[in-house]
Amino acid sequence: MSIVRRAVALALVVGLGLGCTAGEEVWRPLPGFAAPDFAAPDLSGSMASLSELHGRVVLLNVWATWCVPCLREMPGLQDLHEAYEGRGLEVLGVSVDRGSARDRIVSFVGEHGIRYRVLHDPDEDVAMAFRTIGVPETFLIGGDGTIVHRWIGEFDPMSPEVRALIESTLSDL
Amino acid sequence: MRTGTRRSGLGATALALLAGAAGCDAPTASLEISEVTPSMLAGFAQTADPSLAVDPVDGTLLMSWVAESEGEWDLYAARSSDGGMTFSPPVRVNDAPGDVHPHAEGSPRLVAAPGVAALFWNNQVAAPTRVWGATDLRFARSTDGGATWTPALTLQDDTTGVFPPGENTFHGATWGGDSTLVVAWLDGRERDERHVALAEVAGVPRDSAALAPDQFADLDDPRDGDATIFAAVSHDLGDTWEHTNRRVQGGVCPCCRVGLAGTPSGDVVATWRQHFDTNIRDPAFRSLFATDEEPVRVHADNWSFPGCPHAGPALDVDAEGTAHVVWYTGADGRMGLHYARKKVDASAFEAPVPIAAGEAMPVSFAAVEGLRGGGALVAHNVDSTGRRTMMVTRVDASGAVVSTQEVTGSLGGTHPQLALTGEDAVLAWTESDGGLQSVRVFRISGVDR
Repeated sequence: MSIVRRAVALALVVGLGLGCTAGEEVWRPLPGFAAPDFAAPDLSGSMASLSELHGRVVLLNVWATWCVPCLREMPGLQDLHEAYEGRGLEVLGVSVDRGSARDRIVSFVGEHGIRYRVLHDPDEDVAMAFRTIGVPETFLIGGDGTIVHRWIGEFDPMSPEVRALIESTLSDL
Repeated sequence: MRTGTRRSGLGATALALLAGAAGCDAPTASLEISEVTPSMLAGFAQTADPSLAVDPVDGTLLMSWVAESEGEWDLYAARSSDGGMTFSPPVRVNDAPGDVHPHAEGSPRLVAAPGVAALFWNNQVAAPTRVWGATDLRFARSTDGGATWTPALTLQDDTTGVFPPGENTFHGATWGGDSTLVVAWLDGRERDERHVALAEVAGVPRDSAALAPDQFADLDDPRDGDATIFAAVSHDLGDTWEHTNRRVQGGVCPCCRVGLAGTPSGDVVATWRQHFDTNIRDPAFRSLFATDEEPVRVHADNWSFPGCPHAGPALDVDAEGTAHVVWYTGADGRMGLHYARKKVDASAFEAPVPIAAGEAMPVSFAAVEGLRGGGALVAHNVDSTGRRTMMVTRVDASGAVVSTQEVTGSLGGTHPQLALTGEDAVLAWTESDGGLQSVRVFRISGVDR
């Protein structure tokens, strides 16, 4: 192996293997890290932000109308909303449908009986803040604004494990 | 004029990688990038979804985009004889007003062939019994340099069956190098058949079930939504099309665009995101019509994702026949964009190279162009820290990243498009601000062809 190739190999180990993070902890959308604040309009046009929900447990679900797995988990999210809203859980849907899709989202939400709050994120600012890798993704955020859990892809909102996690998080309020 | 401080060889590779190790991105800023967004785009309320192509005969640049005026979206095209510095006045391509649906991942594809410019796009079709709507795959061509376009045709051939209009989108298109035009898309017809079969098992008559096949989806089956790639082929540059669409590949991730490219030998190759078992969604590659061959897996990321990445792989084939692919994976330890290439006689892709990868990389989009010397130019919309900003990365002939630089003032862009114009390149993308979209166009000088 030539000296140059050794240098390349060393650079790969240093630059990629360690993820360029020497000396600092990179923020990641994972449990234990603070959830990033955001602001986005809901379907009535009112702005909503994560910071205004401080003190409540938030279940943030990033979805799109064209996403089949998103549709599959929506009834469970609605059930969670109904079961825990009174105890401090805010189920918050964030649609990443692009452009002027508000009317389509409104129709979709109505057709599927969704009554939890839904925001529209046409510029994908919320999705980018949370570094989502697709849809759906869901974040459980504690009352102090810390990410408690991240579900990548479809999950079962009404499973015993999820309900236990939500109840545990609510008990910390 | 070529500008900058181009380096070459492994020495440059080492320097770039060592610099990248210190600061995440290889910092070499050897390309001159300047905005050339044409003022004509400001005449529309919104613009989005650009596509670029270069006339293989005279090198003229063609650009298409969708534009909204007074609530209606149409498809436009213009040409530039000076590499994107100036454009001809825009010409509406779709003959029926509003016959276009803006959609970044399923955006129009512009193809240039000798004497012909071809456009392939989606509209939206009323289909009340569809949960996710319906789209036709539309086509028009110009034989006078984009000044006029033929009335649009619908290219999917299942328009008269018992099913309601279906999904025909996320398409790629290319010129085959002779008189062949090919478009390949994600088609929902086999999904409909699966759903009707499920309905029949449940005792619902076929004719009744076919009226609303989506109602019989098996929501517990993660493969229920898989798409099938179908293709339409023309042997006379779009004057006529084969009567029957060709079935290419089943079990495909249903919302990630297909990439197509013609090869120097006259073949057409494709890349797409295959849905392997256990929800693994990795990029696959194959000669489009070699349907008796197993697709080559570009790389076994083994990304298991029970959801929709909505981000198909990007593909180009250079003059030597080398295929260049860039794709996103969310796999643990590999999250981000990667580049890999397959030389013309190789049976597999070479080891992938990270383009923008790290511990928290959001889904990101790329375009790739193979360079004459064997390298590649990649445009991507996320940097290696996960920030959404347009980046240009150059890969050299050895397959190593030699420079990565940010396009100044490009925060928030998505779905970059690239075209090589001589020794330079043109880069275009869509930005969104408060839901209002706009196309931006940049010229990249000093691309080493």
